[in-house]
Amino acid sequence: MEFQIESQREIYRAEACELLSELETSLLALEEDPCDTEVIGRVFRALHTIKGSGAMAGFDDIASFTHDIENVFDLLRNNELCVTKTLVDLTLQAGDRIRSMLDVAEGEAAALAASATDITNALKQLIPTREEPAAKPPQTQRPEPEQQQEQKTFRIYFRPNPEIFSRGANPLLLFDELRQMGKCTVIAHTEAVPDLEELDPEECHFSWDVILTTNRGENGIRDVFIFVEDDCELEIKALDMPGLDENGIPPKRLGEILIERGLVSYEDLQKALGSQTRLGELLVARGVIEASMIESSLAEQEHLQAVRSKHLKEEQASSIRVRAEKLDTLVNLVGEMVTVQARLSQTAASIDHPELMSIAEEVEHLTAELRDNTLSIRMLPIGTTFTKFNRLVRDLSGELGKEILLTTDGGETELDKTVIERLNDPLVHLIRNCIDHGIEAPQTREAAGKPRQGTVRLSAMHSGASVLIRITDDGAGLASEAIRSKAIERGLISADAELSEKEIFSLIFAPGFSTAAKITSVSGRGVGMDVVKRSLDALRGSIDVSSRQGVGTTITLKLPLTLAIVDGLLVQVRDGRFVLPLSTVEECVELTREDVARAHGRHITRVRGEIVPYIRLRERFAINGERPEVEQIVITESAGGKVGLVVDKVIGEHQTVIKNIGKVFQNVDELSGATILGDGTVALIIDVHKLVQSVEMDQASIH
Amino acid sequence: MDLEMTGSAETTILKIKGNWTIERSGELKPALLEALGKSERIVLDLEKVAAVDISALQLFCSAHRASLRLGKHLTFLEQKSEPLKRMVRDAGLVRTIGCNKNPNRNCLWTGDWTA
Repeated sequence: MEFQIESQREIYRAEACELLSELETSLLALEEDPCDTEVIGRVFRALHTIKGSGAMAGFDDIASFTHDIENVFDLLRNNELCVTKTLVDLTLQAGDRIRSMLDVAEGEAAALAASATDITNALKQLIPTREEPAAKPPQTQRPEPEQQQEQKTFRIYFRPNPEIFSRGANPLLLFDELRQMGKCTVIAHTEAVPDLEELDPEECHFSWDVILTTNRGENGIRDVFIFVEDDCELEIKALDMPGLDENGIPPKRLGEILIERGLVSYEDLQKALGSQTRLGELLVARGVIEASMIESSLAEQEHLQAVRSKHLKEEQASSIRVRAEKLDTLVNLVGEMVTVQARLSQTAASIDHPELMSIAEEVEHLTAELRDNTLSIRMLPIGTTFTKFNRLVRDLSGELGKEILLTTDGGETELDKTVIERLNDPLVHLIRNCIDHGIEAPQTREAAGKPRQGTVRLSAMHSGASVLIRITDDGAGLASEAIRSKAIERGLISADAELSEKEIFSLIFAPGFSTAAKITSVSGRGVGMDVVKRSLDALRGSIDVSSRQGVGTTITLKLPLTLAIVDGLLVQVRDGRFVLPLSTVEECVELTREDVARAHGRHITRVRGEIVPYIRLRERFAINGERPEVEQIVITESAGGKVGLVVDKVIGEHQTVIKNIGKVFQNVDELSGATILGDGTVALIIDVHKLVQSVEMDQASIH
Repeated sequence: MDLEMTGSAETTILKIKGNWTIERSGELKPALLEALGKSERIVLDLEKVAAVDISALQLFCSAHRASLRLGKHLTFLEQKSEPLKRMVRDAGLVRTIGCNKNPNRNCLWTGDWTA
C-alpha cells in the first residue's frame, strides 16, 4: 500500500511538471494577448488538473494553494477580472512555488505552502473587493456544459425574408456572432438576385450557407438567430464527423457532399468525372450547379477535414507513460541484438550455408528495423526545451532592463531524449550569454540604428545524421580584438600569433575566459563557454561560432541524433580494426606508393585536383608492420575541412553499438568509444574531429 | 458628387465614392442602369468607397447579371477600397469558380479580395 501511494506521488510529480510547463507557456502567451479566452481556459484547466490530481495523490498543500490561484482565473474566465502583468508575474511565481513544493518532502511542503500566502494575498488584492473568494465555500469547479461539448461542424442555411433590411436587421452582424463561436465560413448565394430592372434595392435576395465548427451545439447557434427567427428560413444541420467512426472512413469527397445535399445527381457526377479537370469547375461549366453551391460544399469539406485532423492529432497524443530506465534497457538489449546479428551474418557467410545466409539476412533486416524503432521511441521534439527558454528570456531581460524577443524555429525536430536533457544546461548558458553580452541596452541599440527590441533566435534543423541547433542574436557581436588581447594577456596565444577570425572566436571556449569588464549576476565570470564546450564534447557534438561586430553572433551546435547506435565505417590497420562514424566520411580513395613518392614525404594527396592532407593511422597509433602496396584513404569532413585517414583496408559499413571504454582510456581524446564486432573482437571508434585536432596541435608544437 | 460617370463610346467608368448603405440604394440603382445603357464595357471604380452594405453589393451583382443578359461587359476596377473588400469577404461573396450564367465564367466576385 505504502509503495502504491509512493508510486502514485511519483506519477503525479511527472504529470504536474508537464502541466506546470504548459501553464508557463500559456501564461507567457497570455501576456502577449491578454484577451485570448482560449488561453485563459488553458491556464484554468492546467491549474484545475494540478489541484485535482494533487489532492488525489496526497499533495494536499499543493491542492489548497492551487485552489486559491484557480479562483482568480475563474474570475478571469467569467470576465470579472482583467489580465495584467502583475497577475501573470504572480501566477508564474505561484507555478515556481508549486514546483518547489513538488520537490521537497511532505513535511517541508506544508512550510512552503504556509510561506506561499504572500502570493495568494497579492493575488487576492487584484480581485475587486465586492467578493472575497476565500470566503466562498471551496466547491469543485464545474465547467459550463457548453464548454464540455466536443467540436462539431454545422451547415447552416439562412435565407432571410426579403424585407429584412427594412426591419433593421443586418445579416452580417449575425455572421460576426457566428464567427466568434468557432471556425466559420460564410458563402452567399446570389442566384435569386433579380435583374437590375426588377430589383427593389431595399429588399434582400441573397441567401447564405454558413459552415461552422464549434463546441456550442445547435441551440447555441439558434440563439444567434433568435431575433430574426420568424423572418427567415433557417436550417441547421450537424454534419457527421468523418474519420471518427471506428471504421476509419476517410473524409467526404466533394462529390459525396454534393450528392448528399441533393445538388447533383449521381449521373451528372459520373459524366463530369469522365473528363479530367476539377470536379467543381466542371459541374459549374456544365450548368448543373451554381458556383456558390460548390464554394459552400468545398468549405464544408475543408471544415470536416480540419476537425478530423484535429481529432487524429488528439488520438495520436494518447500515450502511455514508461519509465526512462525501461527504455534504456530496451536500447541496450537492441544493441546486444545488433552485435549478435552481426555475428550470425558473419558465421553464415563463413560456413557458406545458403539457407542459413538467407535467415541471417532476414534477421539483419528485422534488427535494423527494430533498432530504428527503438531509437525513435526515445526521440523527443526539441520544442519542449525551446519553450522553457521563453521564461528565461523574459525574466533575464526584465532583470537587465533590455527588450528582447525570443523566436524559435524547428521545434518539431526530434533528438534523443538523453541528448535533449543534457543539452539544457549548455543552451541556458548560451542564451544567457546572448542576453547579457550580445544584445545591447535599448538606448545603445537605438543609437546604433537598430530596433530597440533585440531578437534571439533559436532554431533546430536536421542535417544528415546530425541536428544543428543555432542560437542567433542581433546584438553587438564578438569583439575579436578584445578576445585576442585577453588571450595574449592570459598566455593562451603568443603576441605575434597570426590567427584567423574563427580561431580567435574559438578562444572563448578556453576555461575561465571572459572579456566582460564587469561581472553581472547573469554571466561574465568566465565559467560557461568551456563548460558548454565540454558538455557538447560529451554528447559527441561540436560547436561553431560566427560573428560580425555590430551585427550579431550565431552559435551553431551540431549534435548526433542518438548516442547509442551509429552507422560506422569499419576499417583495418594490420590486425586492428577501427570504426569511423559514417556521418563524417565523404569517400574512399586509393593511395599507391607512387602517390606517396610524388608528395616528397609530405602527407598530402590530390583528390580530383584538390589537395587533401592525410593522417596515417598506422603512424598515429604506432602500429608496427609493413604497409600494404596500396593503402586506402578515407576522406573525412570535419570542422577544419577535408582530412584523409590512411588505413590498410576498408571493410565496409557497420552498425555500431557504442560502448564506453574503461577509465584507463578516459584521457584518450581521439577515441570516442568501442564496439564489439561480429566475431567478438573489439573495434575502437575514432573521434575524427579530435584526432585531427590533436595531430594539428602536435604539428604546431613541432614548428 | 459621390457618383461620377466618365468614359468613351466603348467604355463607361462609373466612379463611386463615399458611403453607400441601404439609405442610398435608391440612388445607386438608376446610376447603374444609366451606365449599362451607355456603352459595351462598364467599369465600376470602387477605389474610394468608404462604406457599403449588402444592399449595394446586391445591386452590383444584379447589374452584372443585367450586363450578361445585354451581352455587355461589367467589371470592377482592380483597385478596390479596403472597406469594400472586407464587406465582400464578410458577406461570403468571394468565389473561386465563376458563375454558370456567364459563358466566360467570369464573375464579379472572383479575384483577389484579400486585405
